[in-house]
Amino acid sequence: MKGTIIGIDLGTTHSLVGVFEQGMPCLLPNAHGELLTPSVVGLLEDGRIVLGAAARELAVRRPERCAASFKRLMGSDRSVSLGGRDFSAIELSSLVLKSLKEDAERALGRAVDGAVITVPAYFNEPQRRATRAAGELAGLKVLRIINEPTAAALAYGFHDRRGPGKSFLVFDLGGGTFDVTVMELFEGVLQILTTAGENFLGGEDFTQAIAEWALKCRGVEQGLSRSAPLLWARLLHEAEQAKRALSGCDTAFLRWPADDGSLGDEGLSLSRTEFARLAAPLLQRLAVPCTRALRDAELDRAALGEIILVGGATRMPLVQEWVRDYFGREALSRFNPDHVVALGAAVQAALIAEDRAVEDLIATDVCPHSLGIETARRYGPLQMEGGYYLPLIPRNSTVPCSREESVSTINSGQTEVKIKVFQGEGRRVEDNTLLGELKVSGLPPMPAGTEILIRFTYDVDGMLEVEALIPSLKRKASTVISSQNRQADPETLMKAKERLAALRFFPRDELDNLHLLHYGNRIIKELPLDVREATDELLTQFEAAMRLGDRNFFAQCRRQLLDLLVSLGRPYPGRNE
Amino acid sequence: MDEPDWSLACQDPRAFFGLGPGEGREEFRRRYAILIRQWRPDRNPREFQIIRQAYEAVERSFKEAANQVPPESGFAVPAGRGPAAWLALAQEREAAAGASPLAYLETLCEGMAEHGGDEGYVGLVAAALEEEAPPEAAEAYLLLLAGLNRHPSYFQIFGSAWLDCAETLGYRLCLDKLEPLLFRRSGDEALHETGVLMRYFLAAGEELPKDRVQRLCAASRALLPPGSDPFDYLDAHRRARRFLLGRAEAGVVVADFLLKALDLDARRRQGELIDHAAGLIDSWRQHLRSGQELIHDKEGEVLFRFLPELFSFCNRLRPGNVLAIVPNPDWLQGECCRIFDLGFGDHARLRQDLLSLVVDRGLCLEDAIRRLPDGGPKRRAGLVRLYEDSDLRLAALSLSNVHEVEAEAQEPS
Repeated sequence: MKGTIIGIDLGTTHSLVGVFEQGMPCLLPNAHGELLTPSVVGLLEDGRIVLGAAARELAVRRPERCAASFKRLMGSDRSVSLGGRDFSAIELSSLVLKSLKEDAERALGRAVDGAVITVPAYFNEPQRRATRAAGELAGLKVLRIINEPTAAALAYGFHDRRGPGKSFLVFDLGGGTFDVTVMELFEGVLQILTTAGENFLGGEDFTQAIAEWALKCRGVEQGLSRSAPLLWARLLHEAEQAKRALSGCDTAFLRWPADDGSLGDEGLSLSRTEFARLAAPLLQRLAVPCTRALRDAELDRAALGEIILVGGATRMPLVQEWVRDYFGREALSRFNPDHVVALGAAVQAALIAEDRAVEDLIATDVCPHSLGIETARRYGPLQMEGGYYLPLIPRNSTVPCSREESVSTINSGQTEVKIKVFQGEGRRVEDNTLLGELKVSGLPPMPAGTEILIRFTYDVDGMLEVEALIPSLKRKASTVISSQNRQADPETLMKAKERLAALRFFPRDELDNLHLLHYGNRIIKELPLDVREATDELLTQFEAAMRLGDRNFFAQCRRQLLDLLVSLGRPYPGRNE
Repeated sequence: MDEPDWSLACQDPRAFFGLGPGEGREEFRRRYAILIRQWRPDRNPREFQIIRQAYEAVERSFKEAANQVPPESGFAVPAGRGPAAWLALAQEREAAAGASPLAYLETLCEGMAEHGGDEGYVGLVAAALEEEAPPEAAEAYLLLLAGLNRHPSYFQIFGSAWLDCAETLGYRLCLDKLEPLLFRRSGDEALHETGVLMRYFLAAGEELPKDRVQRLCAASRALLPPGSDPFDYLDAHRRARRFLLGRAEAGVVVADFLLKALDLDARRRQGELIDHAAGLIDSWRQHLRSGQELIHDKEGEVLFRFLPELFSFCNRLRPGNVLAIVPNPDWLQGECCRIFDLGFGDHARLRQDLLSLVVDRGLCLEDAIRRLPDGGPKRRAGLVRLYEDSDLRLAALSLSNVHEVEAEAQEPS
C-alpha cells in the first residue's frame, strides 16, 4: 500500500500520533507543539467544538460542557451529554482522531491515507469495533487495530530485533486500562504468548482515590460531584496534581476548592505513606492479571527476561515499587512510557506499508479472550439445561486461527439451528459477552443428535467468521459476526457522520490562544487576591484582541499576558514565543 | 526460498521444518522465523496457520522432553516436578493398589497440594471422574479438595471441580460438605465462595428447606469482607440473579452486594453497575407485577435504601442515563405510585427525581392516578404527598387533575 499511514495511540487520558519516517518511528506534534493531546472534547457556548489541552482547561471550570475518559464507554450504548447535546463515545473518539489526523497532516505537509489505531489488549470485540468505527467516522482508513502492549513491544522489538532471543513482559498501566502481555523475541520474530488485563483500572482510579480521600478528610458526603460539580472538577484537578507531585516529593498539598471551584490557601497535605495506603486496594488488583498471563504462558516469574513499563501511570513510584516487589527485579523503561505505544503503532504502520527498514521484523499476536458458542447439557433422559459455554478458540491462541468443533442437535424434528457466539471465560454464557448469532433455517426435520460442524475463523484484524456445516444434509451457512452495538451499526454511523459534519470546529490556528485564555481563566482562581485584578485586566484585553483581529494589538496583548504569567511563577505551558 | 512441503506439516512436523534428530530448539525457531517471514500472518493467513500448527506441535514436544522425569522406584514423591511426573506416579500407584481409582485420585490430589493447585491437575482429576465416576471416588476427591482449602485461589480453581463432583454425587450432598467449610472461612475468597454457594442454591433448588436457605443467606452476607473488590460483589450478584426470582431472602443478599458495590465504587465500570441495577429493578418489578407483596420487609427496605443511591449515582453520570436504568416506561407509570405508597422516609430528592423522570418521559401522572385500583386511598395520599413536595407540579399534572388532586389534598385524611 502506498501513501502515508499514521499510528495512533488513542488513550483514556492522552492520545498521540506517530509516523514511520526515514527508517525510524517518530511522533508528531499538535497545534500547541506538544506530542500528548489530552483526550478531552469540549463544546463552547457558541456551539463550536474544541479539543485537547484547551478542552481540558475548560473542563476544570465548565465540567458540564466537556467530556473526558470516554474511552471507558467504548462499546457500550451509553452517551455523554455536552452542554445539553448527546454524543456517543464513538463520536467523541472520532473527534479526537480527526484532530490527530489534521495534526499529522499539518506536521507532515501531506495527506494521510490510513491509520493503525491501538486498543487495550483486553478490549473485547464490541470495544474494538467501536474503535474502528470511530476511525472511519474521522475519515481515516483503519488498516489495523493493534493491542497497546503489542505496539509497545514493537517499539522495543524494532530496536532490539537483531539482538539475542529473550522473553519479556509488558506491564501497561494507562489512564484507564491495565494490560499485561508476555512475549518472546527471537530471530526478528516478536511473538506474543499471552495477554491478560483489566479494562477498568488505571491512573485515573488513583486520582479518584485521592479526591475521595480529600472529601472524607473534610467530612463531606460522597455524591458531591452532583451537588457541586465545579468543586468536584477542581478537586479532581488538584488530586491529579498531587498524584504527580508525589512522584517527586514526599508530601503534596491539595488546595481545597470552594463551591464555585475557586482555590484559597486552605487545603490538605497528603504524604506518600498515606497515598500508599489509599492506593493499596488498587495495587492489589494488579496481581491477578500478572499471575494469569504468566501462568497461561507457562513461565515462572524467575524465567522471565525483562519487564517493560508502559503507560503514564507507571511513573508512580508506588507502582514501580509494586512491580519490583512482585517480579523481584527492576523494570525497564528505556522509552518514555507515554510515547512508546504510539511509536510502536508507527512501526506497525511501516509493517503494513512494507517499509524496507522493517522487513526483517515480524509480529504475531494472540486473541485475549476465548471465543465460543452456547450449548445445552443433558441430565438424565428428560432434563436439559441450556446456557453452557463451549469455547472453540481458547484465549491466547495465536491469530489468525481457525478451529472446528462438532456439536449435535437436541430436539428431534428440529428444522432450524441457531448458533449464538460468545466471548469470555465463564462456564456459563451469561458470564460472557454475546457477539452475535448464526441461524440456519429452512431445514428438513432432523433427528435429535444430528451432527453439526462449527468452524470459527479469527483473523489478525479481529474479524470472526462463523461457519456451520450439517454434513448429513450437505447444508452450509456462514456469517461474519457483526456488531451488537447499536452505536456502531452502519446506519447509526451514517447519521453520526452527518451530525458531525454539521459541527463547527474551533479554528486550529487559534486553538493555542483559546488554550491560553482558558488556562488564564483557570489559574486566576488560584492566584493571590492582590494580583487577580491585574491578571483579569490582561485576560479581558486578550479576549477582546482575539475578537478584534488587529494583529499587532493582538500580539502585544498576548506578549503582555505571557510575561505576566511568567512573573507570577505560573508560565503558560503551551507556546511561549 | 522454496515452498515447504505442506503435507508434512501434520504428519511429521519436525520434518516439515527440516529438523534433524540432533537439532535443538534454537535451530527450530530459526527455521520457523524464516518460514513465517515468507508466509506472514496478515498476508497469508492460511499458510501461516499450517506453519503455526506444526510449530506448536514441535514446541510441545520440546517442552515435554524438558519435563520428562526418569521413573523413580518405591513411589518416591516427585517433589518439585510437573504434572506429568505426578500422573505417572498416580498410574503406578493405581496399578499397585489393584486398579483402584481411589489411589490414583489421591496421588493426583497430593500433587495438587504440592503445586498449589495447578489447574492441570483439576483437568486430570475431572477427566478421571468422568471416566470412572464411582461414587466413592468422587466423594474421596471431594474430601481431598476440602483438605486443600487453604490455598489462596482455592475456590477460583476448584469451583468447577466442585460442580463436576456435584453432578456425580448430587448437589445436596456437596452443599452439605461445602457449607461447614464456608462458614469457617473469611477473607478475600469469601466472595468467590459466596458465588459458588449461590450456584449450589440454584442447583439444589427445591431440595432445601426454607430455614436452611435463610441461614445460608445470612451466613453468606456475613462473609462479605469489607474491603473486597466491588466487582466481586457484582459477580456474586449476577450469579444470584436467577435465584432471586424464586427467593426473596436471596434478594436481600443481592441488594446488599449491589449497595456495597455502589458504596465502594461509583465510577469504575459504570456501565456494568447500571446493567446490574437495571436487572435488580427488573427482578423487583416482576415481584410487584406478579401481585406478590414484597415478601420480606427487609427487601422493601433495601429497595428504598437502594433507589436514592442509584439515582444519585446515575445523575452523577448524565440525566439520560437515569432513563437507562428504568427498564421500561410502563413500569414507571404503572409502578411509581406503588413505590411511593410504600413510603420513602425522607427521600424528598428521590421523589423529585422520579417525578422529573415521569415528566421527561412525557408520562402523565393523571394516568397513573386513574389507574390506581379501588380502595387505594393510601396510595392516593402518597401521590398527593408527592405532588405537594414537587416544584414540578404544574408541569406534571394537567389542569383538571391539579384541581382534583388539590381538592383531595385539602380533605382531612
